[in-house]
Amino acid sequence: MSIIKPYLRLSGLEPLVVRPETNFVNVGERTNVTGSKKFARLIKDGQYEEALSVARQQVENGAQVIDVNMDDALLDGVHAMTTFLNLLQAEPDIAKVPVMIDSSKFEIIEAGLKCVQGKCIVNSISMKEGEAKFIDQAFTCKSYGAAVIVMAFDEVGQADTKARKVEICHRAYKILTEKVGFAPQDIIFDPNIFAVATGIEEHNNYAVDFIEATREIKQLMPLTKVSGGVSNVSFSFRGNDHVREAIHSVFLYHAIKAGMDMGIVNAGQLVVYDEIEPTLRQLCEDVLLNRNNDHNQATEALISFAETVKSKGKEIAKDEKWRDEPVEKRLAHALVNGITDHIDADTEEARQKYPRPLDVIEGPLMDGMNIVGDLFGSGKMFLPQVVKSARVMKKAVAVLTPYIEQEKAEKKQSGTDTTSVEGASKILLATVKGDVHDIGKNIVGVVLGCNGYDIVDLGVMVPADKILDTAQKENADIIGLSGLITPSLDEMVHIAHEMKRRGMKQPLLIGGATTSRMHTAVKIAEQYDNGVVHVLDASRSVTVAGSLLNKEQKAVFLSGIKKEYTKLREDFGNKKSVKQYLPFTEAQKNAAVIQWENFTPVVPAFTGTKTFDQYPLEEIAAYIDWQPFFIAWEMHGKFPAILSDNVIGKEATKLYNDAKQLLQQIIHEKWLNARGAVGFWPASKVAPDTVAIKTESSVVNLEFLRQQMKKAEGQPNLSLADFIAPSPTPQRSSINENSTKAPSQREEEEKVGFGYQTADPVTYRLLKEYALQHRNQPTQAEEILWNAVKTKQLEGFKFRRQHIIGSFIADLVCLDRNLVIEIDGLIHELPENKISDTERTQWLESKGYKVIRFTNEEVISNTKKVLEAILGNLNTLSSNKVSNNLSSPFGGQGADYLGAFAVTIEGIEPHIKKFEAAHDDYNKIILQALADRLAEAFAELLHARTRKEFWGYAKDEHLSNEQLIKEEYSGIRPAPGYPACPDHTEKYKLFDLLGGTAATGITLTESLAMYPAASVCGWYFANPGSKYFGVGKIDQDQLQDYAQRKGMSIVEATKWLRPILE
Amino acid sequence: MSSLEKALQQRILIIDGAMGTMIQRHKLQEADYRGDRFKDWPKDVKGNNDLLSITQPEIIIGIHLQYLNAGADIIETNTFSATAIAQADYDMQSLAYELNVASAQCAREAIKRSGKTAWVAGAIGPLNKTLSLSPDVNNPGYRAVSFDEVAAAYTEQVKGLVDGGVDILLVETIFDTLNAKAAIYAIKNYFRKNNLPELPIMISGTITDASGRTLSGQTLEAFYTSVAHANPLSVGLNCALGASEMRPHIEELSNIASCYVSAYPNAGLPNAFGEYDEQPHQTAHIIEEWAANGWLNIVGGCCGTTPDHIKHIADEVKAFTPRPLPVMEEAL
Repeated sequence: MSIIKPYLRLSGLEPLVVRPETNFVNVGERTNVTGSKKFARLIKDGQYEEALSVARQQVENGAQVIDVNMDDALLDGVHAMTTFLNLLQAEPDIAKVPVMIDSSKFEIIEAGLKCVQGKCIVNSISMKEGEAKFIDQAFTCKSYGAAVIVMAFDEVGQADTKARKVEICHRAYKILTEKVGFAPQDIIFDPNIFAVATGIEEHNNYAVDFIEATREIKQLMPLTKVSGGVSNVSFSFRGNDHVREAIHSVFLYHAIKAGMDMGIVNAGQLVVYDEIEPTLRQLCEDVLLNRNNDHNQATEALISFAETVKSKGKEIAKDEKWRDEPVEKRLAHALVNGITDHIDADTEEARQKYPRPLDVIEGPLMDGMNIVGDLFGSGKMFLPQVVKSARVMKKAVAVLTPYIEQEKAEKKQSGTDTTSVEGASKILLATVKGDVHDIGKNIVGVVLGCNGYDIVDLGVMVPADKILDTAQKENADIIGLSGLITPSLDEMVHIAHEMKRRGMKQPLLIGGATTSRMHTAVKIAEQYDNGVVHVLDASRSVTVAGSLLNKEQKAVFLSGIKKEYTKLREDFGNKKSVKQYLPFTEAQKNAAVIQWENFTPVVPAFTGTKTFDQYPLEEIAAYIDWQPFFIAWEMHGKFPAILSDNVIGKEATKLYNDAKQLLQQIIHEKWLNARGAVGFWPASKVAPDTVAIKTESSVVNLEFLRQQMKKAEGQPNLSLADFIAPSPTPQRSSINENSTKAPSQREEEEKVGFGYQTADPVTYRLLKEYALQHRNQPTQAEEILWNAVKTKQLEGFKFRRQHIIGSFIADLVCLDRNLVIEIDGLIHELPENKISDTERTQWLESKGYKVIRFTNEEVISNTKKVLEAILGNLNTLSSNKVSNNLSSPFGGQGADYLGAFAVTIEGIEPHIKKFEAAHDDYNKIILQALADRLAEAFAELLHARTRKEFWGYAKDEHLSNEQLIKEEYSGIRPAPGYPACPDHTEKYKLFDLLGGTAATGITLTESLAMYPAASVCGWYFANPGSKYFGVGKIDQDQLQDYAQRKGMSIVEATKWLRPILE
Repeated sequence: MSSLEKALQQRILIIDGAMGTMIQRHKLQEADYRGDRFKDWPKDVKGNNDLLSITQPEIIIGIHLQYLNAGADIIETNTFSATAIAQADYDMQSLAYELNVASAQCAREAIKRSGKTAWVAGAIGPLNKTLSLSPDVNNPGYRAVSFDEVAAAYTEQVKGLVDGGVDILLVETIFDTLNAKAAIYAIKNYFRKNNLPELPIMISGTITDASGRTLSGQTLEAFYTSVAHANPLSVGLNCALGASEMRPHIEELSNIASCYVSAYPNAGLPNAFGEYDEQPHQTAHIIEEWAANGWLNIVGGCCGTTPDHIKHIADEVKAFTPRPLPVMEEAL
């Protein structure tokens, strides 16, 4: 069964899905008569064809949506909008993107909606002329199937402060979702971007107001989107594009972080945040964030700086004897040594020397690369060097490309190009759908590229259709698939299957950490007849590709592989029958034995979650385990011994130094942001393989898998659940027990017992404000009941009034008996309120509350009867104080806990792009590998802090980094999807517990890969008896039991557990 | 939950096959089309198949009955061209409403006579004029018809179908998404303005070429995104392609659609004479695999298919469970 996410989905001729990982949607702003003089003139003169080219340019420059605005006093807006959009539909290269129909006149918007087949965005509607009109316009937009931008504008005016922005947007949200039936994801807010640095002090906080309002809107209404007209913010600097672009980029940097999803920008004119001169960036930041800005100091500073901005360069001199050699030698030297300093000039020199630009590639450059290939093949060069060589090669080719293109064009024109040049063999690479990891694939791409293959890299998360369509369109000679997490294996099987169905001929290469020769042989090769080969690492990829593309060798090679795989399959089949499983119930009986009666779990310093943002990278760096870093580069050996290794020591040291230098830069210039969350909750084993976790609002059951192989005598069949204490035995007297407990634990139980706090801090804060207001202005009926409580007419039962439960405010609640009393005024009698009353009652009941309702009139005129009714209820309900310890599995003697964590390293994308633009695969791969290391190191660091501080079960631990790497600590942190708990889908629970994407910064793909790719998550077990293990294969009886526990169909459970099923 | 939705949860429902192919078998002449009532009509009406619901209701009811007996759960009204815009070819604009009422009644009557449980889908065709494309190659901005005109024509058709007693509204053979959006607009506004409970909507697009796009240029996912606001009971594809060419698109749709999925392909591609010669067992064999893959909720045939095709299809898919509705996540 598929799962559909509530993404904003738009369409032109092609779809545009705004996913959390989309980051930012550029809306092209130039097709706007109010913003572009050129466009305005063209429209006024009726030169619509020309005007279309403005739109085309926007799309070519990366606009993902185009904004069209025809609001001009001298124009017939309806006519202009209709004509332009009708013409635009005939231009597939423009019409492929969705249209944003922009007007302050609704008749123009509606005229536009009548011309576009795709799903548009209406820009905008608002409540400035009252609710009725707003609702009417929203209905119209909905009946055309458009998403809407709602401006933060109401009857009072345009919102300028954060509070007003949030308040208006929230009000609009309620109206749209409750009265009009709008899907939340189809609502986009424009909380108004106003100009800063105008000289007027009241304007100084405008950018901050927008950014903070955005943050709150996204927390309060997470499915909605936030947009805005970015260029407004720099209006004071018009005429100085250099400064404006810097302001825009800095503004977007902060606004996007706060949750801004899209913006109207000039897609061709955005500078990269990191490439702004540091001084200018600092000044922009001060102005936008309103720092150091008393009496407009920051504004003044930016203005005076703006006038002096000049670009600066720097030069580094080096000792360079090889520069005296002829150009061919110099190119070879540069390639072999990976030196880029002179490559542009040298290539240009060669180009002038040789008759055709292509000769330079086929001559000296390929000669140089052949040396590299030979050295690599004979083990004299190592992967990091090869990647550096590739960087040089790419730069040289980039210099030549324009000339080659020019030559081609000329030939075409003169008609001399009758023979098509035989190109290099083409290899298509992709990380499959649902998977985000690509370091290995990038390395393979570089290495194959170095060996003269033309690489088409489709990137990560690529659907099967796209891979195969592209392979067919581009006529690829080989397809290579990569994946790191186990669900990707299924996707690879699917792709092989599809290749057969499509009758494709290309061989298929399989690679990536989760893949294996065995899996390839047994599952993938079966699906496709024209060659499936598992490739262990990048170095092998060269020989494999070589064999496959050599006509003589291909058949021999494939038949060899086929034989090998057939044997593997047979072995696998034979092995299968030999394996012995215990019946699942037997395996459960053979669980790990932990003497719980002799064990007192340590109470964590806090329960609930704690999040970290911008955690200092230098602290994290100290925890890096370098060995896997070298493995990523296919340099195998122990760290640090590898640095002094006889064979690879020198290159390993170089790589290490380069990596450390980049790491320093990453730390100093804050390229990356380390985010994370940890959480601890009371936990209890409630079934042999089920651990119940008690959060403030609910109980979550974690399901674990158990080893089922027949074990040697005395060896247990492990399950992670074994490491959590079972439900405690009922206690007779709660009072005695409470008095013997540490204060922190008692406090904890009270919190847990009542479940009255809400997980969402923003809603909580808002609710709190409302609650306070109501508490200070009680209605007559509330007053009467409250007096009854105070004067102990309710037998001394304790009540709270205007108390927040979840996202509701209860009029009166007796927390001890979970009884909620609601007093309904007239407002509840409106039909909409009746519905929400029902929902609220249902929700409260689901949380274990009983809800009773009285009307104002009943309370006022028949107080006695109401009080009797309340008392009757109170006396029939049992007390939490007692019941909590008697029936709940939590708390009590020997109460256990479980923790979870997730960490991620954010912000890699712009730097990757920067390196890609510079053809610098070497630093790109170092950066990716470092991000992975930092994520792992951060996980290690938080685990250490957890042991010593957050949970504090090993306060006296003193371990070196080496000891940490060897896992010499007490307690474990296994990750869902990995051997001890191989079901990836438990990650949903883990992330929910930690507060989801908002808290962790991590999103999960459909295959449960974490994005950003440099992310780690896991459970914390503190019991000293807990240890890492692999579940291994399981049998059908456990699968069935597990599927039932998870509420999954057998089919679905099979899908997720396939790697551990026979 | 309606009986229709219940049935959709339990099994793959069968929608009927071609009306035109079956009418052809009767070899009707101009006089047959005219009947008594239109014997003096100033324009030729032969080929106006929708008119037969008024002039030859027994033929139409008979065809419906054949499909019902072949196993159809849903039968389509004979209203593919019953709009003021399409009827203009015969100068019969003024009859649009009546054609829809009469056609809906023919279908209802057939179900009554069959004694079976089945549903009537009011067929809303694509029109012979389109909103996204210009008929004038020299003037790409020109449109032969306006959105308002199309919406008005569809409103009249919807009213006729509803008054005639259909159970479902089926916007079908969509090759220009904007026409379909006008139909959705008309349907939504008709129910809202008349304060009537909405009938379920089925949406069925047409992929016209191998590139997998509609005639108006949209990819399948873009098309689905553009009509999703109809909140349809089902979305699917029909016409233009035979089942084997339709396969990848149905697979894609079954992955992305949040509602039920329908498919009613032609009986293969037409031969040199414009005839369809894919045999019932051939069509059914291809469709069987779709059902086995769990892609389908509603299946049937379009141009060139016959009651025999429908019977074969119904027999082949019987063994398979329908595609379950996807899980709609509430959080990102």
